[in-house]
Parts: sequence; structure tokens; C-alpha cells
Amino acid sequence: MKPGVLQRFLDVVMSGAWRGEPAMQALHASLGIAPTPRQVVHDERAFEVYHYPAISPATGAPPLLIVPSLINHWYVLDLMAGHSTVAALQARGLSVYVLAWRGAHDGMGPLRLPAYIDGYLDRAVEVVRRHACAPKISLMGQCLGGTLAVAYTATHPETVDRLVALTAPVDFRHGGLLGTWSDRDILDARKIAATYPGALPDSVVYGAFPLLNPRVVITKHRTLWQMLEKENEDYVRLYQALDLWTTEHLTVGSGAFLSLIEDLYQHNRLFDGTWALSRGPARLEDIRCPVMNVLAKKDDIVPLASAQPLLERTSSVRPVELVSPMGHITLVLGSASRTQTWEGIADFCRAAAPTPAARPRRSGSRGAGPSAPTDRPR
Amino acid sequence: MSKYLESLENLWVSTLERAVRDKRVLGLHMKGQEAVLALHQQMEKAGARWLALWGIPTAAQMRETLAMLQRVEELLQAERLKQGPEE
Repeated sequence: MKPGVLQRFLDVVMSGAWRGEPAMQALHASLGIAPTPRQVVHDERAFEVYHYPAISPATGAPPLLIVPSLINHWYVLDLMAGHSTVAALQARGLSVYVLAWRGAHDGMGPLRLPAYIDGYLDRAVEVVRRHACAPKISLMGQCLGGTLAVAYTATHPETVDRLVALTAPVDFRHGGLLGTWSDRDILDARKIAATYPGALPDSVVYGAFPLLNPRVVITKHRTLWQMLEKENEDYVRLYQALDLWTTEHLTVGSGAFLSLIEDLYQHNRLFDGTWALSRGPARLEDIRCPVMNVLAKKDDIVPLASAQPLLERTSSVRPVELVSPMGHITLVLGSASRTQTWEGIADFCRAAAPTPAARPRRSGSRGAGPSAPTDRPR
Repeated sequence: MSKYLESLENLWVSTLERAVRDKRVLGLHMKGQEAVLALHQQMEKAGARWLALWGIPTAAQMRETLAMLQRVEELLQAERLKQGPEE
């Protein structure tokens, strides 16, 4: 063992632990988190909207609003230089906006997920439309943000030009281990919400996440040790940045949690078309715009079977599927797959919208193999 | 030594993976959690009663105030968007 490796290992592993706001900001700065310059175009207690203007050549494509997962910080989409989804998309000529959730406070306890869709997401879309002077936008949602984006598109078709679902669960019957833990016989979400009527403590929501794949927890520490011995500082910085992202959580309101467990995991209301929003139930069949479904084969959090049925249910004029062999996060950050993912999304967003007559026929082959964007016939 | 460690790791991971999928284990875990939740609720109630004796706002009252302020902010934001374009 090299001298000093153990000390450095402990320093790196402990660096993501919460040590107060100034210390965390200093850590963000030292790692170069969120390096892409951005403009705040909207700011309210629940969320902000950031703008990343297109880098020439501008394509004339509709502005793209990205909705990250409700439970994680947005900066995974702009993690570090060379690992930034927003920078990659703006470099490909897209004007990118990001809805940055701020986490719930105790007063947001009563708000259920439909209030997030009809209130916050709708407002963010309106902000982007006005800021970009565009009648319609492209909407991309990641993970639970994708689920919200899907429900929004189903009920607000007049404002969404095309939809990108990035590892977004829609069929919660196949929710994997999270689905098992959310089973009605096991989890009584109402008791939890009654105990914590405001914002839920982190331990309630995130405590079990490392158990989704215990081997990964061991492997990542082992790899970190090996990289410290090899003095691979780039890897160590990326490890710290990713670890920070997985340990720095957003607080979740009890109403949003209750809605996630009861409406989605236990009753599968979105997939069944019975999830009531302000304009009526969100029905996937009502989504007619071009839809791209980006899937990760090794996803522990959102199994393939939970995300894949989206295209089968929508009435999209242009259903496109992109299957990556990577995992939930490595899909956008892994060195092997990220360029392909970014290219696929950018191509989809830049392509001219097809007329209804151009809609693919229901019969025919599935197109190219995995990892390649395919215009998936329905 | 490394083979021994590897088999120990495999045993640990496979046991854990089985446990987190076993509904009996999960059920027992939730029963424990529910007991903790019930204790937490009782302590909250006792704390609220004690604070009320001194006229100090309880957590529930503060939540209500925050919820009201949140609602006001949302109405203002919605109104602001209706009024005119974003700066």
C-alpha cells in the first residue's frame, strides 16, 4: 500500500458529507461543478429556470426545457467540464433551459405531484415560451422529471412540440426493487406523511437507495482505492462530483411522496390513464407529438420494463427509441455512451416536425439494433 | 487472502440482495419503522402541548403559515406571468 492512500481515501469518501453551506460551496467550486455559464430567467421559492443559449450554428429548433428528477439536484446535467449534458446540447445548436428544483419546505407538505405538474412545470414552460418567443417547446424529463414531463405533455399538447423521456418510469407495475418496497402490504405511505406532514427527512426517502445495488457500493469504493494508488486525479474528481450528486439530496414534501407512492407505484395511475390533473386525467394516448424514449439497460432505479412501454401507449407521430447498454447515470455521464446519447437527443430535437401524414405505419421491423436511435414503428 | 475476501464479499452481497427482496424481512422492517413513527408523533404532540402553554408557535402552526406564504407566492408568480413578459 502506498503511503497516504488510506488518508486520501478517507478524505475523498467523507468529502461529500454535509459540513455546512460554505464548506459545500467550496467543495463545489474546487470540483468545478456546474461549469457552464447560465442565466437565471425565473426565480421562485420552489424552482428556478436557467438558460443556456445555443452556440452557433443555431438550428432554429424549438427551445428545449429539461426537467430533472424531483429528488436530485439539477447539476447532474452540468456536472463537470466534459461531463455536461447541457453544454453538449447547446454546442449542438439547441437553446437549453433547465428547471432547477429547490427542494420542498415544510409549507409544501400538502402539495401532491399533480400540483407540481399543473403549477410549477406549467409555469416553467410558460417562462421558456415567453423568454424564447416560441409558441411551443421541446420538453425533456429525466427519471421522475420524465414522468412529470410525460403527464404534462398528455394534458398540455398545445405547448409541447416534442418530448424526450430520459429513463422515465411510466409503467410502475415493473418498478423493480423500488416497486417492491412501495408495495401496499409493506409501505404505508399515509403513516409516513402523517408523521412528517411537511418536508420528509432525508433518511425516509433516501436511506434505502444504496441497497438497490449493494455490489455497486462495494465496487465503487474498491475502484476509488485502485485509482488513488494509480494517482488518477481525474477519476477521483469525477468520483467526488458523482458522489456529491448522489448524497446531496433535495427535500421532498410529504404530499409529493404520498402521490409518488400511492398514485404511481401502488395504483399505476399514469399508465392506466386515471391520474387526475387539473385538465382531467393524463392519458398517454393523448400524446401525439414526436416522442423520444431514451432507455438504459443496466438501470437499477428505473428498470427497462418500467420505461419502455411509453411508446407503445402514445399516439406519437414520430416515436423514437434509443437504448443504451449503460445505467441510470452513466447513460448521460459514462464516457462510452454519453456522446451517442447527446447526439441522439440533439438530432431528435433538431429534426423538422413531421406532418400527421408522415406517421410511421404500425407494421414493419423495429429498425436498427440497440444503442442506435430508431424510428420505432408502432 | 484475496479469494477469501472475494467469497466473503459475495456472501455479504447475496445475503443483502435476498434480504431486501424478502417480503417477510421488509414487513418486519416496516413494523419497526412504524413503531419509530408512532413514537415520533407522540413526541411531536407532547412538544406542541408544551409550547402552546407558553404561547410559542408549534411546528404545525408554522407549517400552516409557510403553506399560506407558499400559496401567496404562487399566486403572485402566476399573476406576474399573466401580466407581461419575463425580464
